[in-house]
Amino acid sequence: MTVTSFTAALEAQWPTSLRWWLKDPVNPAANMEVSMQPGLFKVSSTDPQQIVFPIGSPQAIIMRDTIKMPVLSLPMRFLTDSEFQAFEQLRATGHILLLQAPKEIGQWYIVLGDTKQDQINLATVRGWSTEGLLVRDITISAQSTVAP
Amino acid sequence: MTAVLRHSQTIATTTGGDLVVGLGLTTNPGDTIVVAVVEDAGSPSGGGVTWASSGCPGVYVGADATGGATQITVPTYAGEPAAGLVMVFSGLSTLSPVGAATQIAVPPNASATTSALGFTGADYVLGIAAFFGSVAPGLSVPTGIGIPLSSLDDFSDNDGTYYAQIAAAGAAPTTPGSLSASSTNSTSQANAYLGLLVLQGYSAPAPPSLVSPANASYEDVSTDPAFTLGYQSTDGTAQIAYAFGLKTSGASSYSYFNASTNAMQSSVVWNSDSVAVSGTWQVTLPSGTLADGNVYNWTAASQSASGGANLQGAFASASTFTAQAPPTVSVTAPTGTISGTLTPAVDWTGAFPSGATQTGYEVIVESGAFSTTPGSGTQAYSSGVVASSASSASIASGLVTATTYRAFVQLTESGGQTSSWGYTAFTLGVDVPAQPLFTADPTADPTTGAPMVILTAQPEDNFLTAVDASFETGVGTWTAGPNWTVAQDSTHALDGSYALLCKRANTTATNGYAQNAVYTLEPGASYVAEAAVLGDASSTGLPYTVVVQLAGTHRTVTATFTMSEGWQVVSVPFTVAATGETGANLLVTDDPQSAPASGQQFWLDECGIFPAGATSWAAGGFVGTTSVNFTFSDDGVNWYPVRNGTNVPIASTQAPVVVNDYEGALGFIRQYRCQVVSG
Repeated sequence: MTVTSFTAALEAQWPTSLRWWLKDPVNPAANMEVSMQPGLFKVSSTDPQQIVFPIGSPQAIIMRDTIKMPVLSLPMRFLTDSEFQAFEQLRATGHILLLQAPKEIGQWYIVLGDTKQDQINLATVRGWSTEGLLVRDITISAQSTVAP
Repeated sequence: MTAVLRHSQTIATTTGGDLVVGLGLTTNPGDTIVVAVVEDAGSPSGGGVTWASSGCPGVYVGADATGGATQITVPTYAGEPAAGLVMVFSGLSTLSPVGAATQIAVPPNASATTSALGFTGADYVLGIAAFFGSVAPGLSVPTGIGIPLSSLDDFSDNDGTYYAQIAAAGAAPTTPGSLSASSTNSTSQANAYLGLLVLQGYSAPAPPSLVSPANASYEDVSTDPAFTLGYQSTDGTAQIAYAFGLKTSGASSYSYFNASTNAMQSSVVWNSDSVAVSGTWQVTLPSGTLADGNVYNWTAASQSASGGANLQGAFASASTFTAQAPPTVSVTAPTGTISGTLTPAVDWTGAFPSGATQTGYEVIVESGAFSTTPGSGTQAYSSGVVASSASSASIASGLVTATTYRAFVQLTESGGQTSSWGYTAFTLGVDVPAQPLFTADPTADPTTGAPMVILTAQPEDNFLTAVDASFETGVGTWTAGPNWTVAQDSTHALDGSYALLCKRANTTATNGYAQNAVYTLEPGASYVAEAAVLGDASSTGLPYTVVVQLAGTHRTVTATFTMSEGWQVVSVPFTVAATGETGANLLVTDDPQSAPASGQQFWLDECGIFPAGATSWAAGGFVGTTSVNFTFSDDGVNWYPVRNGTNVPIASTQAPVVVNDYEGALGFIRQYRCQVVSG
């Protein structure tokens, strides 16, 4: 095997965008812009815990995970049913997705609730028709897989 | 002469008036008397003692210059009782304590701790705490001080009850200590004291540390190495002399170094020198004392100043080393120009002293500035120290063609000694694919609108085979027309060692030419043909033409040039017609009108057909075997593969290779680069 040396490095300035993008690195054709409600967007680190009450013991057992990657709360709005269906199809792939936010916010590789369907907060899902427009607001949590 | 506590006694509580304390012994000249007293009213007196305050109220240190004192008088406040401790030492270094005595006030209902003072095992530590109050002050001594020699408890005076404790001990720890006490008084007391005093004694130095040669080490003694030793004082005074002993292992007795005569002798010699506390010194023995091939035991002892006592310490436990010559290495390969591989082997020959064998090697390869040892150039490869008896190692990676390197080798032999660096220089002349033209263009996905960067590598490989391009292994498909001959020739070469010698065989006034086989090209695509030519006196100044012959239509594209005695590159840009043309070949011809003479000759090298835009010649033979690796970096330091950008095949048509990156952070700069891999 013979190898050339590397070419000189080229710099590429990625576009500065005010939009949010949800990208499927495996299938870029499924990449889509999402409408995020920035005021409600949250990033947090959690230490999930479980409390177990053993039978016959007055003492509860608290099991706590170590700190993991950031957990994102994504409040998204879909103005059309096709947008929502595209999102649902993207989520159904179970792929690790890339959430790209405007420069000041960052980007994350995330896993949407593929196995935790209840992460969709049904209580906040509401749809209504306004002059024929179906609007869906959802909030879905996502586990970051790589530190931003 | 070591400090000795000759006498210690408590001072009984008295009810007033100066306190006369019988010492119970007669002091000797040089003795030191320490008095710690509560409710004192001035310096003690008595005998030939000169008193000095320690700085800690109530503690006095006296030097008895004449000796003969049997009692001292401690002034106390009129009508007040006093209590304390008297100690008599011999062998203390000075009247002044080691470090300043420290004294702090203890706040009401609180505790306090003195700052730490350093002291040695030869020192004495004295602490005193005194309070006016109702509860003992709870004197706490540093860990390791030992059992207090004396302590006092409550006594009363006219103002009420005082509580005092005094502690003193020898053999103090060698780590800094402190003293603490607690007060239960509800109000601050002007005469609530807490103090710590360290008094220094003398002791002989410990055996010196035998630093180098390290015990059980191997050392080349052909250059009379120095022995390094570390002075280990036990009383804080400098070394003023040393003794040094050496023998061959198994000998019954040591020989001792005499610095004055620069010779070894059978009896112990104390050689004067001056080494600070914790300092090191070196001893170099007379030339010829040591010889490689022997095992030696060596030892040493220190003599300290110790206030004039000149205390001599014990000899250190013997240290052993083996005198052995280091290995030598001669690097035999690679040398010259290496054309077959990018991972050539480095070969060497090692020479070792009797009984020693190679236990390891290290290979370092550098380019750029060279020296006789590694470090001056740019490191391209390092094996690290490899435990092995091998005499050859491949340079696993990191080398690129058309670069001159120096390969350094260092051997390690049994015992751990290393050779000087040996080295060899070589140049890599390995054919590699052409570097592509590379672009990185930020844009938006035309379908989804998503931000992306399009990475495009335009291959520039030579369509010709390796032999047709550079003639290193023959003449390839090149053939001569009726008036010429062609042959591989090493007289001149622009690439590698050979070129194609084209020579006219007659004076026939028709064209002579040489040409190669037709190469399949892409209809409608543009290319550039290249050929490097070099003439000699027989051909210089004559006109020649490089012709591209398009297969299918027999259309030609030409470039005429005048032969010279320097290499010149003739380029012929051309475009294959979209229909009717499927390939092309190269042809070089002379001008029959220019009076051709038999023997007119020139050399042809570095031929090629490249995609249009190629900027430099590249070896042939890689088309259809290559792929591209794209990498990115967000910090300019760490590089990672672009997704779907590893080993992306390059078509034999040399069509551009395109990979899209969707994963750069918005608004940030990302760097990209690529390389071509063959095989």
